[in-house]
Amino acid sequence: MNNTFNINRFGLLLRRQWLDFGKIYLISFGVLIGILALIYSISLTDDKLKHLSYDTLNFRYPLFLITGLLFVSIIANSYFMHLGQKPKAIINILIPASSIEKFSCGIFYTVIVAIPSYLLCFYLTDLIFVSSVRSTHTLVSSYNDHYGKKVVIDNLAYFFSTTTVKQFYEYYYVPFLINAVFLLGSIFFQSFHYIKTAISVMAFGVFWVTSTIFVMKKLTNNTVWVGSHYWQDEKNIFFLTSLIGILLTLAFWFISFIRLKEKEA
Amino acid sequence: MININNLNFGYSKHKPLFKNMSMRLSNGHIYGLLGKNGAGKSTLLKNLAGLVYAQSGTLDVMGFNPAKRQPALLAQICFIPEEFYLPSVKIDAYLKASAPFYKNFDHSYFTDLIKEFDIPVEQKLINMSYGQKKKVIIAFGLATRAKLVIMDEPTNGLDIPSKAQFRKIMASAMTDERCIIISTHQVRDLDNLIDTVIMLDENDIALKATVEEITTKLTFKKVKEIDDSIIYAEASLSGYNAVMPNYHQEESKLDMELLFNAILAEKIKFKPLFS
Repeated sequence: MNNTFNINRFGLLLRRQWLDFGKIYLISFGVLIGILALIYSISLTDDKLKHLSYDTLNFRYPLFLITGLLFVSIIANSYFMHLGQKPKAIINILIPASSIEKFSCGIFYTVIVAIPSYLLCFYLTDLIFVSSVRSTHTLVSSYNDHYGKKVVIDNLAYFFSTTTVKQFYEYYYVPFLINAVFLLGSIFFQSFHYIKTAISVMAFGVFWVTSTIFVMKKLTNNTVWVGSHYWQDEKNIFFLTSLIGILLTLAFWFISFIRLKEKEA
Repeated sequence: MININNLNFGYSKHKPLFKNMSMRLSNGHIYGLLGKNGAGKSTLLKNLAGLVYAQSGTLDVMGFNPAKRQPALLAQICFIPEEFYLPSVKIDAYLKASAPFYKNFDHSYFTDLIKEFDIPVEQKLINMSYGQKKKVIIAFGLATRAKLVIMDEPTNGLDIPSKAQFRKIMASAMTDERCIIISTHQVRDLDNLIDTVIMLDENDIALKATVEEITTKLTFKKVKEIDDSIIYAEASLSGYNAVMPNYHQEESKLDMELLFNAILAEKIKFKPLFS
């Protein structure tokens, strides 16, 4: 018997874990659909559509970011949460599957299932509501770019085809990083996992931002940059932040795996 | 089947629960694990199942280190905890999701046990009473045909007929390949079931002896008066329940409760008899 990873056992584990996780996932998904539908409905009433402007659909950007953050973090934080309760931890630790399989199962449900299902849910909600608006309204604006070429903007474009959303693509690692942090929180803390993880992230964020500002101020105050323009280029900065984001994600996943392996009941 | 060598364990470094504990458990036995509250019965069972990690020493369970939590070992362990959790599904769904992990799972035996325990199969597990849930996990655990059966207070929450059913089922579940360890406070529930008594006290094993060995070396009697031959006695309505050395090879029935109190009270007097 392979004690490290067995694909059949992994399949069995996916089915077994759905008993516990499926309910949380479906409830979260139902709430997500409800929230999206509600906010789209409130934001696209007949009254608001009468005074249609270029920013009528701008509510979608914060909505996408906030609900995405909440959905991904809640799903990730719920997956190993039960290990904080001894009776549930005992049953789960004793399932005849390896720690790698148990962790991979967590990644499968919280990343491979949860993130695409969020995107799909948002895409479908947007498709339904925006199609309805587009069937009765049009709103196009244009401008000339610096080459003199006329650029036409469809102000009622579907969310995933707007130019603003295309800028989000640079941050593709963020949902994975959020998942990794909250997955670790669900294993690391014994109780109040979500609150404790959120507070830890906020505390770390504040420390990181203030210390970076402080250090950069000290280093660059009254100085002039005379080096290469490598770090003036947006692409290189995005590459570096992506690299750091990916490395942090992998590090948090690895720590989560070790914590899972060492979890006691 | 199980070898424990110089096991040291404690939930905090300053309060050890086991100090250099060593013991060997074989298959073909039903061990009764006894001890006061906080003596470490549940913790010892958790060490054997790999649910907690020893500070030092070695644990060998069927050739595996339980701390590694390898699937091959986990598939051979049936652990019935005192407090447990079952998902909000019916027995069928639970069985479909959990049984395939155990390649020797005996579905017909499980069905028989469920019938014998009179479990309502149409009801969701989460809506069952504590006793019913316990019977379900006992039935599931035994149907896995695991070689090591570990039970922590299995009769807690069972009604009187269920306790008798439990004893009957456990007696029939015993095979030469199996090792069953049952931890309990309710020693009378395990009368006639266990064949070896393990008693924990003061960070170590105070007694490990078969029932036969105990009744060969000790006799349990009702006496009117106490004399020097008696190691330990407790007052009863008609005199005293006493434990004394079995010099004349008399046959007597092991009174586990009396033995438990006797060992705790007179550990030094018993030590030479079972060393």
